[in-house]
Amino acid sequence: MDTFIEQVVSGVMTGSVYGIVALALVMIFQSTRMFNFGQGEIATFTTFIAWSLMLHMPYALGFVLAVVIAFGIGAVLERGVIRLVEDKPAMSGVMVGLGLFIAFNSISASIYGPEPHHFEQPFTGGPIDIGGVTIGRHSAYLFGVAMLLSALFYAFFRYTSVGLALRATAADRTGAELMGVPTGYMLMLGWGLATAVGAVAGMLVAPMIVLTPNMMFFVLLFGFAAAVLGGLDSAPGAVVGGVIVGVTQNLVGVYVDDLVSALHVGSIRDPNQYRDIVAMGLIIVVLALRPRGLFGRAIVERV
Amino acid sequence: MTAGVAAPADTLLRLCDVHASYGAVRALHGVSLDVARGTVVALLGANGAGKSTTLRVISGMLAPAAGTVEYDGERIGGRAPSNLVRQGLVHVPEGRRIFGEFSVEENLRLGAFTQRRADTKRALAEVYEDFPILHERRRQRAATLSGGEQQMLAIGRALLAQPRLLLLDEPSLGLAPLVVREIYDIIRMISGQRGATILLVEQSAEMALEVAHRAYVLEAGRIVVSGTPAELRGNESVRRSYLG
Repeated sequence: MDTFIEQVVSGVMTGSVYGIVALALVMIFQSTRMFNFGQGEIATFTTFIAWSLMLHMPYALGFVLAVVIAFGIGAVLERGVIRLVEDKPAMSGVMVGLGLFIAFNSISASIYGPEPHHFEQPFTGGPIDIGGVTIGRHSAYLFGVAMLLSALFYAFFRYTSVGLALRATAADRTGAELMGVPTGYMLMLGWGLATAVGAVAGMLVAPMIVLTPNMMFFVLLFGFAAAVLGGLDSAPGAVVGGVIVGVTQNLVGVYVDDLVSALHVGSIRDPNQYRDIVAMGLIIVVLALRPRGLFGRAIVERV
Repeated sequence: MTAGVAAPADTLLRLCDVHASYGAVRALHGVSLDVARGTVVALLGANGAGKSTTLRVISGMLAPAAGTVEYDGERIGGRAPSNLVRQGLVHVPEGRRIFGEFSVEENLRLGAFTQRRADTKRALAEVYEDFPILHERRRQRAATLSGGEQQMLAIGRALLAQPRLLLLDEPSLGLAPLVVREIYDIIRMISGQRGATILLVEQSAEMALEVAHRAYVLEAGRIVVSGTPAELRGNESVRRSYLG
């Protein structure tokens, strides 16, 4: 039973990372109705920038600067690249996202090389004991950051006029323009914010594994799953989706081996391979039963 | 409201020989019209005559291919709609473009996007006073409102942008006669109490001529008749085509 609780808790922590990445995806979806498949690789690149900065300055300053630079990268990408395909069919956007994926992966690899870089742990200190379960300090803070970011996003989209204008731009660009919303700037803002959140995710993931150009590949994949699970337009949903994916992965990783040997159908050489399949299967099941995700609003078209 | 009396010629909006097209399809072939400050002007015509297109050119949704649009003494052809809203030129477009997934109040807050926060609070209270039904339904999703309520929301939302020139595209479309009357009472009130200038597009001319000081008739992208409502009612071909 202890193993069970430990696995759940550690799944919540991993899931928090997926949740933060999912927040970035939701941010872009909320403001442009598009998926950015390059999100993870851009996050990795900005994490490398942070790594370079932190060679010359304290962590906190490097962190903030990297977030600001990431915002700039996102805004410039929207203006320079995304805007070229914004009126084109959805598939163009998908292709551009894949293009960004490849481009930023290559840029990271060409500048920093494939070898792992050590990225600083922001939260130092011993593990924390919560009700008999010990968790790493970094994981605990990670969860806190995910909760905080999702609360901030929620409040931003719901209560501020800029957040409302961003949502309006996504829902009906012309309609928003007629309300006096400068929708071009809103799109830049949406991409800037999403890229900034991606940078935060990258800087939090890097110390858990190691910083390499491919670091975010699976994180993005599960972040994407978390966003879809949560409903794509819900900030709290993104984090909850992330936690569900994280916990499922962990439990499957531990118990699939037991299950298979109990059923006497042979043995499994690497149970971790199954956890990803099951996590993805779960998403398909949720989407089949509830297409708008767990927290998404119903999409009702009124013509 | 003294319909039929022309207001003093202090022009807020002037279109001069405006041409416009959608791709290869020409929609306007030289439209010229004047809207005097503080008046209600009706733009009448059949389906497809170019009424909505004219409004789209004025509000910046469509750049004119030729001709000039002058608003408050400034040439505005080709400027972005969001920019013009800041100048008080507010367009309630065809189909109203309510944000159906947003609450009624969120829709209204969007209308006030260009306004200062402190002013918005008072303006919102005023709109709720003029449209009590919107206050009652302020937390509801806008898509759940009836057609008439949605039209009220669209107009109330436009008022929050503090319009000096309000463009209304077929406010009576798809509404029951009783509701149409209610909407026109509101238009009368906006013109009277708030002193906003209104350019009104309508297919059903009867109601529009009741509130308008002046009217234009558009046919196949050209203005064919203009005058006071009394003059239009006296025009045999206008009567036959547009008045029951």
